[in-house]
Amino acid sequence: MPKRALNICMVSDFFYPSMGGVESHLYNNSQCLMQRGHKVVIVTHAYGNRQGVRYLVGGLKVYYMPAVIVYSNASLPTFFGTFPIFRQIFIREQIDIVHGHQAFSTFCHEAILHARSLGLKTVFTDHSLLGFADASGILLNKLLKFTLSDVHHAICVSHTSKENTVLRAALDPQQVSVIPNAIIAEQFEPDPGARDPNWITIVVLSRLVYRKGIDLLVVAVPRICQLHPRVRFVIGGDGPKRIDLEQMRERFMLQDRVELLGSVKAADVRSVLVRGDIFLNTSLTEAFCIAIVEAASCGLLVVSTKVGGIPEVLPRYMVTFAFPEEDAVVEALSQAIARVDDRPNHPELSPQRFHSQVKKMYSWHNVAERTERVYSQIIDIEEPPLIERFRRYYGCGLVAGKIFCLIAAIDFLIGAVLAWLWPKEQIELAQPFASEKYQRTINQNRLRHHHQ
Amino acid sequence: MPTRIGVPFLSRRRDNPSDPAVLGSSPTRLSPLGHGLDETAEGSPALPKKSSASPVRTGLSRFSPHRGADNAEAPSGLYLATPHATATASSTRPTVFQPRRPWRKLLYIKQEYPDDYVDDTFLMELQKNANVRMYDYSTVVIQTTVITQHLSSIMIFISVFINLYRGSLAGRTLVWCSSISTVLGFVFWDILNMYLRTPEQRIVRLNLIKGALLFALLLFGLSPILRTLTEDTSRDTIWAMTVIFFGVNLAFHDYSTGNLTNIRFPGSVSLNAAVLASVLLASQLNNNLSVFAFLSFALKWFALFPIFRRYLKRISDAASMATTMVLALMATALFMYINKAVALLHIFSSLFITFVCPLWLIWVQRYKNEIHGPWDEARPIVHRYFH
Repeated sequence: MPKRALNICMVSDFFYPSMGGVESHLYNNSQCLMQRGHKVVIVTHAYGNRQGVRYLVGGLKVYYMPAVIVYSNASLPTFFGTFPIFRQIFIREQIDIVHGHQAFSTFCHEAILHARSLGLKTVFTDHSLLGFADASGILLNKLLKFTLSDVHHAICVSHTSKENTVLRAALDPQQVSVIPNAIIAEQFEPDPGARDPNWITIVVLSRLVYRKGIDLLVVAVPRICQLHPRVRFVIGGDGPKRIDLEQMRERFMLQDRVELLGSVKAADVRSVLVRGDIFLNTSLTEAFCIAIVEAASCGLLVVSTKVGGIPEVLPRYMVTFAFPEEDAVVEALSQAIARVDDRPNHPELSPQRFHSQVKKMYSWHNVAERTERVYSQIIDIEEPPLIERFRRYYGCGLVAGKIFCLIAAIDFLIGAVLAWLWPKEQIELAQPFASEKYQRTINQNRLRHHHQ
Repeated sequence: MPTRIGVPFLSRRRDNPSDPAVLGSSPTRLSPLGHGLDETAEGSPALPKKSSASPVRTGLSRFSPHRGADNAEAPSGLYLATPHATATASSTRPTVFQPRRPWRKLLYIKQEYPDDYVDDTFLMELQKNANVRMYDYSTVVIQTTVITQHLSSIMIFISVFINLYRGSLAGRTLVWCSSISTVLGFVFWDILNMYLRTPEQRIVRLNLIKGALLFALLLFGLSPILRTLTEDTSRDTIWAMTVIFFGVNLAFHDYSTGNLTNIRFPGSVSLNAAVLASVLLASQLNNNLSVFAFLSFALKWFALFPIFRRYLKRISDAASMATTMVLALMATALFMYINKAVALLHIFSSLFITFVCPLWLIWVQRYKNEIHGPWDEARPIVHRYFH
């Protein structure tokens, strides 16, 4: 099939320099899509000094837009305030597809709304799970319904996440694809020399917050230390629950067996992981959980709570599941500890084989290929008439439907005013990134470095 | 099963039957991913897929002739596409295929299904109304007494004010009545405590009496100021604000907890609103003794009396019911002399809250629509054996 190079705009409030699942997904997916011949620009809000246009490795262009941050890195919702600048970017970069990420991101919702007013194709990726019971969930679900009513395709990172999104936004499930996250397996190779053979080391790497199930960890650690004298813990990460862990360590005098590392930089994750035999994840909710994939890639046996999309992520011979309950976690950990001793007798459970298996399961190239397939599905869909868009918004609810229609109508009118103020023809197009020259320079530098 | 996932635009299908690419389906584009990973690592038997009609898959039926044709042409083994073939697999939406293996809800295996495939097991783990409680009518009726009690107590309070305002009740009488009933209440509480051996401590203590005396003196000293506090404000404004504050008091009152010792957040809002309303009303009275009497009565009535009612509710439902009856009848009787319509309204609203609202609550339970599933945040269960 003749492959068509697309201009894609990824939008999310969450991007480098902040670090996390969404951020790495955006970066790696964009890099792989560029390698497949597409042009990708990323739009996010300014992070402190990091404002304006920046280029990352490989000519990945990032717009750091000015915005007011309200809560945990999400920008202030302005509805129409960002329309002019988004329009300029979309036209300058000749964007075909706007791809928004993460339901908590205001930018993502606004970009999709404006892109629809300009008649562009839109895709939305949901990275997290949300319940239906609490007030914030209800509000956010309504907003998601609004955005997803008129999006061409949605992507979720796990099947559980898809079920959740379909319910939250009342979507046609056939419009939602499941494309998991991935890791760069080369960065997570096992290192058998790094572990201490005198101990069985259990590694925990997580933000120390309630949602990561640190309460379970706090009660499980002393019981495991009492049951298994050869076991020690290495706990990386920081957060409000760190105090609980420190108190537990004091109380049971486990200073020599529980090591608290504080926050661990992304570059150091592997060096912490390879010290361990077992990786423990106690999350209470998780759409995908990259952490256990990274751990398995480093050759660790994984013990995890069975919540959200986690059961879909790794095969049973790599993971021991536990219900989020104290006894179950202790039991699962004890099983895993027994398996560590037994592991040398089973060549199929060797760390190296874990690594090669994980490498086959998850790669960003695969993610990019599948994302590209979504793009090619939607790129030639005919643009529905405006009244059809209103019909979709109207179906969102008795009161909300009318409000959504009003917002969409105002946005459409603002789009018309903007087209009159700054006609499309007068907007300067961005120069394409000189990727060949860039590649040549890189290669030359590499050669020079090599000769020295 | 997702029989009614609200899909307002199901008609919005992307697959176009006249699309030549869809019609001319070739086996190679059926697999989303090529590189065949060892799916049987866990040793799962490859069962034949049984097809059943599901509402979410109605889109497939349209293609069934082609599906059949595909099936006839190609042996099942061909459906495992090669890595080379996957590059060409992206142009159309691969809906048409006969699966060789059942779909599994896993991410780590490459399955021969498109990424937007919807299986029959979709939303299988969805639970609806898992923790809905069915209420028992008599229990709910008994529970409503807390609301009726509070409503009646506000009505009694207002009628006391009206009597003071009209001069039909002397400030002196009110001071005596409220003081004696407070002392009686404390004595009653203490006797009950001793009799029932409940863990509540004895309340009548020297420093409590000292505190009460000090407070009373302070209030007595302040009453001239409070009396003239709102002299410049129009009377209508005062009445309107009083109504609003009593509304707030009614809305935020702590009905649920059996808290006897301290007043926490929503309850504190309620108490503040009541005190504010009382101060506003007190400033309309014409002599200092009435102001003092009214405010001291207000504090006892809104700060101490609810605690006593909670205590009664805790020890005996019958006593609580009796209190409710007494309060409701008292409020009606007091208002009979002031305004018959209000008295009747009060009696009817009390009856409505006690007997009709529980029926209403039980009836609306049928509209309960709670959704639970694997995406819910789990609650960590911790036994804390060491603590």
